[in-house]
Amino acid sequence: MVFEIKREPIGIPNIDNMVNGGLPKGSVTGISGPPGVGKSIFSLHFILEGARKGQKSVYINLEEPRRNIDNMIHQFNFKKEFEEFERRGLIIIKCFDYNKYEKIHEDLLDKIHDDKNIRRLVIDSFNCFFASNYEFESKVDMAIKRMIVEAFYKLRHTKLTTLLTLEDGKESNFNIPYLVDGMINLDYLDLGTIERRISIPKMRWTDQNKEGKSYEISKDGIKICEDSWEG
Amino acid sequence: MKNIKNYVLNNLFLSKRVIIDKPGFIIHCASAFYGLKQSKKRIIYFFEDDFIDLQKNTIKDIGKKKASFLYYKIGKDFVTRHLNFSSSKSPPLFLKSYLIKRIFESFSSAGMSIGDNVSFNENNNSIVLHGKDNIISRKTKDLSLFCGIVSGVLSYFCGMNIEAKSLNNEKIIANQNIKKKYISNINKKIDLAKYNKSNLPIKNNSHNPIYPSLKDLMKFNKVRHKEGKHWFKEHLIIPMEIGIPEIYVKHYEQNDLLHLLKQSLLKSSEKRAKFIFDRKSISDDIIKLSSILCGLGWGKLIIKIDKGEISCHFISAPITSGDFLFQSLILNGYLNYILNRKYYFSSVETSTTKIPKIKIIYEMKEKGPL
Repeated sequence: MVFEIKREPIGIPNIDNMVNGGLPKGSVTGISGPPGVGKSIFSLHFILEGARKGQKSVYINLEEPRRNIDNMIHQFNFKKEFEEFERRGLIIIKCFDYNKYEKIHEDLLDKIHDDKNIRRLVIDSFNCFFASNYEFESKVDMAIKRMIVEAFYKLRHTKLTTLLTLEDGKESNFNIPYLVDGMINLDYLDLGTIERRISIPKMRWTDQNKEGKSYEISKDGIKICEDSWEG
Repeated sequence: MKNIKNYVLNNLFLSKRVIIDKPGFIIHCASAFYGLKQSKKRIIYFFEDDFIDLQKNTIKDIGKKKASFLYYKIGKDFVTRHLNFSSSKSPPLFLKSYLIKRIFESFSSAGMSIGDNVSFNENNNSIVLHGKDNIISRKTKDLSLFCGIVSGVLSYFCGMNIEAKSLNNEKIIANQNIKKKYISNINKKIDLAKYNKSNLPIKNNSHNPIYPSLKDLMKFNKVRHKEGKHWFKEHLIIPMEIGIPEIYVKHYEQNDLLHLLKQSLLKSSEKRAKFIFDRKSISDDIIKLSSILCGLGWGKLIIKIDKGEISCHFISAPITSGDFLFQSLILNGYLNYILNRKYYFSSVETSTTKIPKIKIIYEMKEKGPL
């Protein structure tokens, strides 16, 4: 019997190639990087690609109000497509502040877990919520870790593929990189011009590309480009 | 049996090395072994071309024989300084042969291929090394620097002065029969407390896109590690303990050749700057220069340009007893190219109060492009 891992394409062609065609179906993947590097834009690609395949896709943002998300979507050529999918109910965007999210967090994850029509989920950003809401004492730290593990349990079911954005530099990452099935790192370097790089240090059940690739952000979103000093 | 012996010797007697690579500084740590103490050395990367051009220009100026002797002395002082960090004693007899071979073999990892093929005779403390394609000498066609290094190592571990010579560009021999040339007069004692305080920053510097580490430059494909060496584009970069450039300056000064060192370093870096900076935007090139030097371990650089003067502030800079002249001249060449003007090195100030800092001033004395 040949066992094949089913995959959910991210929607950025040369990045899908780096992970054998997409993220493993049913997995939880973290995407990390410093502020402004393109994590949210990456998430939009993931959500949009799901909608293109007729999958109900949910984008939860815990840091920005709705108008900021709209402004972000509007910079790209795919904005009309995105809006149409939202109108048809294939893309659902929810924005919460931390206080509200803290109250509904468990129920929301239960609902997402129970709604088998939801195939793709993004939580942007996942670790910030825990880092900002709780003090770093050892007992509370343990409680948070338990909450995160429980959240992961709810997120893992065979039909839901989840992408969690993780901010770099937070005081505690609560071992999230160990819990996720995959990690995508985005980074940038200022050498007079900004250069961006994507690398995939971890992706379970995948023979991922071990080398990083340069990327840029254009009107079409994220696009892999040729390394500037190679050759 | 040989494998067991090697395993025991490797794990009990040979030092383990760790590299700490943070934005602006690179530290090589070697753990303690048998008589040697743990040592930490601050390293900065230079372009091999600077040393090649310097040696070639020196040979051209003073002749091959005088230049060879100059570089022999530099090489011997170079390695004596390295070994002084560990304050070691001579190894016990049963280890000596093994240790000496291993030290020279480890040279291969630093780009010295003479370490590839080593024959040491412990009965008469003589050694033969074979290898071409050594850094610097592969282009200067002169092995005198490495002869000095070999002599220094052997003298140190055998407890007596042993000189070395090259037979061609591929073979070095060292034994007690070679006529006395030079005994290193580098200070045996390095003030490690002062060195560590000035050069080993306590705070961890986290990743910063403007101030990258060497690892960041490698991650972004600006520096490549290939065949045991580091390359910046197609230029080889070589690691040096921060006190080594001063050895060059000292010997050039003692031989009234400081003007030659200054001219050579300036021209070499101006020439190389053409491959690194595109001169489309001065501010972009200045940022690139800061980022590159930071990744190569020079410290975090802030450049201020004000009419006829440039001030370069290095934070977490490498501090030694010297005046940073070598590095200042290389930086001078880059700035001249980026700004398309002739600036001259004017002064350097060092501060080691809280955070080690170096401030270098360049002045424009002539108007008009390079």
